[in-house]
Amino acid sequence: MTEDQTPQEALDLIRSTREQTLAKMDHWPWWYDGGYALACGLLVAGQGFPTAFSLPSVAIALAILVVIMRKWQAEKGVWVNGYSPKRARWAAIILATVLIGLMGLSIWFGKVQQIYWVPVVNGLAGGLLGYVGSRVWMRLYRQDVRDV
Amino acid sequence: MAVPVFDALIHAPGRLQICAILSAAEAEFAVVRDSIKVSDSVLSKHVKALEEAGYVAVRKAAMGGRQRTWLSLTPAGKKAFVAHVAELERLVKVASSLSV
Repeated sequence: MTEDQTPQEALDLIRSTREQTLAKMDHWPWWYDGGYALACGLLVAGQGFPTAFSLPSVAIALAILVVIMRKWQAEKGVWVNGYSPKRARWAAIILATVLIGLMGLSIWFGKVQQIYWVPVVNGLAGGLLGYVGSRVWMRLYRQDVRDV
Repeated sequence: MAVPVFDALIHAPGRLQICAILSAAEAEFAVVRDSIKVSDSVLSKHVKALEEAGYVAVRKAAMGGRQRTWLSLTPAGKKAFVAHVAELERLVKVASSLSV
């Protein structure tokens, strides 16, 4: 490629280079899905239980998130802040909002009403949402990246 | 919608590719080097030029017992890249309208 590339050639070069970057994210490791779902589930379920359980669950969930983030960075060599791409940002915001809502339900039913099966079910729902949400986010991110 | 502005610093093929990658994700030095198929020294020169313009941020992070260099676009870099792409798209449109 020379310095005097045409505008069309430059746009094509941008697209092909970005596709290469996306290819690094084609293989989705099981530990990322599992870790992210577990962290979401713990964050949601933990809120409904007494402090002796809820605080460690938050600490463990945050530790899991840090570990999977660092492992992903070490293996892939690329990283994206979930809230930075245009469309994918909305998937992250909606997921965070729903998870916060589920945490609120866990607190109400668990800590206030002391109906402990609700936080457990909420935690399972939170884990599933985390799994699905991260897939939706990646799909939208790919669209964002392909729109130069 | 970004105001189209041609940026000669970004337009050079190697730097254009670096910005293309970093506009999609923060990336490790070695990943960028392998993607655009240049040597460490050539990439360092490009990164230095982009860093001096305030377009690229460089951070060092210890990972797996090794020091790794991560590159990302700064807000100014993102703005300049978006404006440059808008200008390229404008030029393509002008060229296609002239050829009809």
